[in-house]
Amino acid sequence: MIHLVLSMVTVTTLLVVPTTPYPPDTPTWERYATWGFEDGHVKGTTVLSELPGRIDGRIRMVTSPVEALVLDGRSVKVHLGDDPAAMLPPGNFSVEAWVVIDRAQQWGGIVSALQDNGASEQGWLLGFRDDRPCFALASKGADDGDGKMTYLVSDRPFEPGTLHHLLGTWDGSTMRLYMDGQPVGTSEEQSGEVLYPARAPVTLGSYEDDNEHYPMAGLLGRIGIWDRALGTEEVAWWYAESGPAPITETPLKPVASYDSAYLIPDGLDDEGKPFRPDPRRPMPLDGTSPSSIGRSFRVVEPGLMNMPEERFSMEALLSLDRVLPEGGVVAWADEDGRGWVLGQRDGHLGFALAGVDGERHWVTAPERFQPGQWYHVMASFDGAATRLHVNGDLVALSRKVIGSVQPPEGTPLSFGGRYRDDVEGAEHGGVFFATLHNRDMSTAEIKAAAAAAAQRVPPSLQLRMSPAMKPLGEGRWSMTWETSTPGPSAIEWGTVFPLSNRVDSEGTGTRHEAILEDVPGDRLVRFQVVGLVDDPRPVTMIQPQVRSGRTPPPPIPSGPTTVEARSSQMSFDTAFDYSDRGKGYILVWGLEGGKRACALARRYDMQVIAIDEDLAKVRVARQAAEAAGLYGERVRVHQLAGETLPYAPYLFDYVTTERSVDGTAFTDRQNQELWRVLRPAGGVLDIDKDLLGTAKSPPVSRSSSEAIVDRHRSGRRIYRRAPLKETGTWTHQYGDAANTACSQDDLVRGDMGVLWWGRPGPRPMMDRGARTPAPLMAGHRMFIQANRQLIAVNAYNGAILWSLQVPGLRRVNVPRDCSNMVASLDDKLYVAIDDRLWVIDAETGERVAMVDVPVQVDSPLDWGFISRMDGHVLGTGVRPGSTYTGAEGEWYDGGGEESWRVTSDVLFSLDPADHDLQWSHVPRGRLLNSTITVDEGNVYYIEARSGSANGAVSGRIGQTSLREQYLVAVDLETGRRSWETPIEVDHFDRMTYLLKSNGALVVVGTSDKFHVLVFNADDGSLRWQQDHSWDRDHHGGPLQHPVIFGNEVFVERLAYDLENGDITREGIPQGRGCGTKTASNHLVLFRHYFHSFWDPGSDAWTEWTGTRGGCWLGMLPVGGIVLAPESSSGCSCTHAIQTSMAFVPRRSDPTFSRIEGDD
Amino acid sequence: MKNRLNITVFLLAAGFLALPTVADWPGYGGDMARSRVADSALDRNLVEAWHWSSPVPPRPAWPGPAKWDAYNKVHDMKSRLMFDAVNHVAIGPERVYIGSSGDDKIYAIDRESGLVQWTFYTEGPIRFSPWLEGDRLLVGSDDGRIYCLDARTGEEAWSRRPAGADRRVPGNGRIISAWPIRTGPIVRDGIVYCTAGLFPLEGVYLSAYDLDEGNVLWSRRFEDLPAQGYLLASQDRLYVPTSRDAPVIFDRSDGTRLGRAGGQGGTWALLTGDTLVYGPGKTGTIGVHEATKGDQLATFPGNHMIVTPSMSYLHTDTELVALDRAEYLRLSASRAVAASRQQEISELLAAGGTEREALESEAMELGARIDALAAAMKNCFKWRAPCSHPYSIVLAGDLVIAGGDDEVAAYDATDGSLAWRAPVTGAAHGLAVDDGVLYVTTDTGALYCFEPASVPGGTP
Repeated sequence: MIHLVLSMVTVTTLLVVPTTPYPPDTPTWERYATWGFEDGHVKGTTVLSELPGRIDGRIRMVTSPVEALVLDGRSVKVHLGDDPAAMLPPGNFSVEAWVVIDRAQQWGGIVSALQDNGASEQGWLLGFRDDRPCFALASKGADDGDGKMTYLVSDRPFEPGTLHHLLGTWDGSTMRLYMDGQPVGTSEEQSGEVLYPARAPVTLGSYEDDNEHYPMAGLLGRIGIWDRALGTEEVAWWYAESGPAPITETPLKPVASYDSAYLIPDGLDDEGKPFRPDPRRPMPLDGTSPSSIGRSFRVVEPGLMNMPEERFSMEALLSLDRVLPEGGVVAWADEDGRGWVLGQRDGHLGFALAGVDGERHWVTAPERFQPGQWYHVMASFDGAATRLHVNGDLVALSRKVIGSVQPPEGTPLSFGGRYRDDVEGAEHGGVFFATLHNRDMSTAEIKAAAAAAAQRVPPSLQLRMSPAMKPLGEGRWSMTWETSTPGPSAIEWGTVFPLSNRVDSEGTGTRHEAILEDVPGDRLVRFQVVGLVDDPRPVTMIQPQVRSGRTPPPPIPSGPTTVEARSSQMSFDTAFDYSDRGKGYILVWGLEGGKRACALARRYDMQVIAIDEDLAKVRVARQAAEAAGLYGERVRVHQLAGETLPYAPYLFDYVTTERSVDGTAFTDRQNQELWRVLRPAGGVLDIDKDLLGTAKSPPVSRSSSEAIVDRHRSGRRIYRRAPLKETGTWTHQYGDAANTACSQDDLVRGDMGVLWWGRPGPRPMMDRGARTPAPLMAGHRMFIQANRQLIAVNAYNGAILWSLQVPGLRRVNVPRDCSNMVASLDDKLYVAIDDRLWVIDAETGERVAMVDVPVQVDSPLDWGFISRMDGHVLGTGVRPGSTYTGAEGEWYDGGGEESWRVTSDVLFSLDPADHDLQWSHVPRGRLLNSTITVDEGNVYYIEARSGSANGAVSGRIGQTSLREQYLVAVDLETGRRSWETPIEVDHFDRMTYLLKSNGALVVVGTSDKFHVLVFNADDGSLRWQQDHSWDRDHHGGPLQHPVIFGNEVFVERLAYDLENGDITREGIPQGRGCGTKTASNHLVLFRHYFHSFWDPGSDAWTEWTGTRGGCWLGMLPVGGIVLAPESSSGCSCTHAIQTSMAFVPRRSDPTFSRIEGDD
Repeated sequence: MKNRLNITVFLLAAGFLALPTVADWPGYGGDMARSRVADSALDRNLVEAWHWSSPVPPRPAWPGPAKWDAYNKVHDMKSRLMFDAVNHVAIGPERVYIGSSGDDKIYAIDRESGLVQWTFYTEGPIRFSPWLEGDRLLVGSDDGRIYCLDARTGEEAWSRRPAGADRRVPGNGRIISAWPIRTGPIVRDGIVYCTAGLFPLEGVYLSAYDLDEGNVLWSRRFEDLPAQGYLLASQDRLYVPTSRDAPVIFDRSDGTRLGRAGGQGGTWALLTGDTLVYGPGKTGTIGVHEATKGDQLATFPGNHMIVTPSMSYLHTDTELVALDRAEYLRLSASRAVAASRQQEISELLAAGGTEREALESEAMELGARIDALAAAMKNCFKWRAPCSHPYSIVLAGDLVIAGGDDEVAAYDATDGSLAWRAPVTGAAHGLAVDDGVLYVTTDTGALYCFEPASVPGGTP
């Protein structure tokens, strides 16, 4: 018996025609026609045969694993003729092919002689359907008038990239299909002679008829046709006898190897000392430049080895952290494109190989790698194909390079972290080992290698809660985390690998805390959580990447392909340490020696501005502060000119004086100034009433409702400024729980001026494009969700109040989901992180509660939606892995998979006081997070009830599942369904929004235009519907969120009357940028090139040259001002200034009109 | 000033610089071209004579750049707003003058003893070096004022607020003017130039005052550029860096706007004649721009550059490179012409025109010429030396001085070899040289004075 030979065979083989017929009484083995691609069988473009053919496309032939024609899947095929009836056997026949199919496809043809056009089905085909061989035939006996074809599909798939023998037989009543000599399918649906079409292209290497042409990719070896049907035993015998000759494979051996388990003799660290890798741990790739040779990679001179050029395999166990345009982990390549590189291309693991044509060709995995995840990568070249296996599976195959590698002369082989002489190609991540082998491997060998490599990957420490990091000041950081199982745990940290510092947690349960001391400022600090696990290997467990709180979610079948799983990073940036910057501003007006100013500076973590008209008093105060060591950082003394203050309104959190009670009283004008510069929503005026005189303005005025009188510890009255009247807040993603995107602020109107600018940004912020959660504002605080970090900012003066770094915090693509953050007016911030809701004290940034998803439906759920409303904390549960977390530059601007909606399995309500469950509500379909709207005692949402939606494994569902959609109202107090109504929104393929105002529920979505449907909120009846074509199909044009503006709803470029759907405005400015709009009662904010303001009343439009926002909602008209936290982070454009800033209406600020003459 | 005369004569003879009479190192960069080329050489055996520490360390206005540009996959982006990492000095015959972004004061420090002689309070951070012109010291502050002080006593001669209005807001974590002085002052021909303002819609002012009385000569308001970065002046023009954007060019006589440079933005800049060299763009690129033309003549990888008539020195994160810049630019221009013609021919051939044979022949010749020019351009790089002092460079005689982390070093300008090094505390972003003495300022607020070992007062 001659054995089956797979792709490991490389020596030229011949197809054998047996000399002994089988069975002995078989009349003949002579075939009706044969085609081959060995020497002498092809002349020019002609394939010599009993039925000669013409090769179309580029002719390339290989000898391994069989002599064959290379099919490129695009243009190459062999055309034999167009009259199958005249060319091919009319009755019984057999057809065989030695073939390598490189990739599955819906319609694949190896020998094609058919017409399959609608109901008309005639002829036959040896080919494949998806990943299975098939034999198709239409016979006269089964003819239904225009032919009826049976596609007999193999019960086993073929192996891509591997040589197979396929054979189909027809004996007049039974179709049989064989693969590698074994029967894989039988059908008796046909009978009689073949029903040939009058005309059809007869081709090899393509499925082709009058209206279809599907060339295959792979290798076409010998093809043969008999004019009789071979029997099963004959087929087995024939397969064994006619296959390629057996080859004794070359022993596999390494040519060069790098392994973290072994000492690198010439490895040197940055200081030139020998570097000893830890055998238990991977070598880190930290993107070092070539000057750091030795720490991250090793260079081997090619003269030390015989570099294989005709066949080889390059194997590595690696993990990558960064997406690079092109990156190399192992390379033998020069800058002119010669050689090869194992690494990545734009986030896809890949292998680049240069052939003799001088071009370097990449084969890449179709899926992006998950940062921090370990992969066994095997790239191989056998002279006829370049293959890439990941974790033992073939993921890419290319035949662009045939023959041998074009070697990079005089170029060393480098292991780990670069392939070019710059840092751009330097990888970040880790490598356990990388080995160059002398030949390509068989599939079995590759799977065995992948299995062995998997044993090297350390077990994963499961974290219940990823570390939260809080700056304590002066280089001190608090880190808290929870492990899933109790036991000792520690933080290892440092600025470079290997991490040199370790702090053990005092806890031995699941909750841990460590205080890091002497953390260098303005540096990126790397860390890993270390614990002990019950594992037979004697290793201290390494957590290569901080992940979500439990077992990673299952893969998402047919889910998005973008990087989503990475929930954290192994670093935190001390550049975000705001703890020493002061948390606000104190004004001391009227100086008597400066002692009080100094005392306040010592007492509060704030900056003190001390002022007086008298230069002598200014000098004395300066001297006092200098002597106290406070001048500069904590106290500054300004000389005031005149009765008015030069400061913009609202800036000071605390205003006081050094004047004694019997000193000079403030004038009415000065009294107004004191009040003007005091911060609303809690700012304190601490000046004795007698010094405030008899002013009619707050706080002394009897009619004033702006001041809240409080008692000082000394018994003295102090005044606390109330929130500004007629101003708005922004507690939810789109302003309020009703998603109106309008703050209803009455003060934000007219021309605006700068109120403050500065941090945070751009460094800690999320990259600009990912459609991130909106900032929020409640009281005097703005909450910003930066890159895995929460930052609280004093909205009126920009002071950083606190920050908290949480690697597990990330949610993007908000238009297809919902925010993970809500603020409440009772000084709480609610943030969903993995499967928990973090309840954070808005004043201090401390966690006051951690709330699990209280309801589980079938399986554990992550926390999806949040709302805080009328005695309820509302939440939803989403399937783990459903939320978008892309951190590698995803933009989520188009349709397709990135527009799939995140849906919830359950809606519930908790008591805000104790977080006990009040009710839960299970929808009848999949609840679209982007539509959840809460207002006036009801929760409203849209759900999709189609079978595919309900049956989807993932929480993300795509357009084909967005069917049978209903608009649903649920009672806020009970969770019971109030009403529901079917709605026709299946064509919304970009997004779906829901908002409510004035008794109207507004549904907005886009297909090829904007659609608006308005329902009555009390019963779900349709009030009106409209649509209009969009202004632009890029930069978020079709994603624009509506804005409620009085009794109108602004939908992209048009405004509609909420009552009747009449168009009330046209030509609403769209702006160039990718953001969406917000509004006060008088002003609409958006990003054009820069921050822009449009007054619908006057149609005036102003733009703040030099500063821009991000790609979603980033400008809040709230509290009488406009907040615009930095959101252009990462923009490499030349926008002049990247800063957070706030604007104030010029009409609210008299300092705009105080022009000082030249002095 | 022992070597000044000879060097000045040489430079003038080379047609390279036309320096007016100014103080020895009147402000950042050593002259109004911010050339960073010292008038005097430095000894190779410098020792620390004294050091002084600011009571409050520098507080730079802006944090670092974004972590990365995720969309474009650009890592390790450069800060385009690196002008106040340290307090930079002006050097007079008797004193060193240094402002503070920490405590808002200007300090006059005795050159011999390192002791503070006088201080002057402003009401906002001083982020740019003062400018010394005779016995007048010009200081710009974030409080929105330009101050003219008596350099000997610190007494205020006059002060002006270019924006006119006194409106103060929190800016970069401090309460400052809404129109801070963010370019520093510069003086030429008895005229003080400065800018005020950051946010174009609030108005950004470019103003000229007479040095003696502070009378306004002209003032322009602009609404499209945020002035930020050291102001530069040539014979006829003013160059205003605009933060992350490209510098804008004005007529020095009346403030008329003439144009703007191209490139990727940045606040590090110098002039050679009217050729502007600036960067670092988003990834560390120095661009060369001629006069008011927007196009870049050439770009070089690096953060800083020193230009002399005979040689230029490129300074990257990891190395120092000597470049025959003039020859490089000449070759680069020739290559651009050849490449343009090659493109033209390619289009003609694609269009199927006549004289195909001649065109193909010319294209082949051009190809060979471009290859030859490219090879010649490579030869313009005279040497490369590893350099672990990436923050700043100045040229003094035959030494390139570079500042790094906790160290300052001198490299031999002829071959890049390390000639001298000395420890300092902090990142040495500030370098200044006068009369054979090196001054170094760091981000901890330290000011170091290094003198030749033989100079009295220096440690042998």
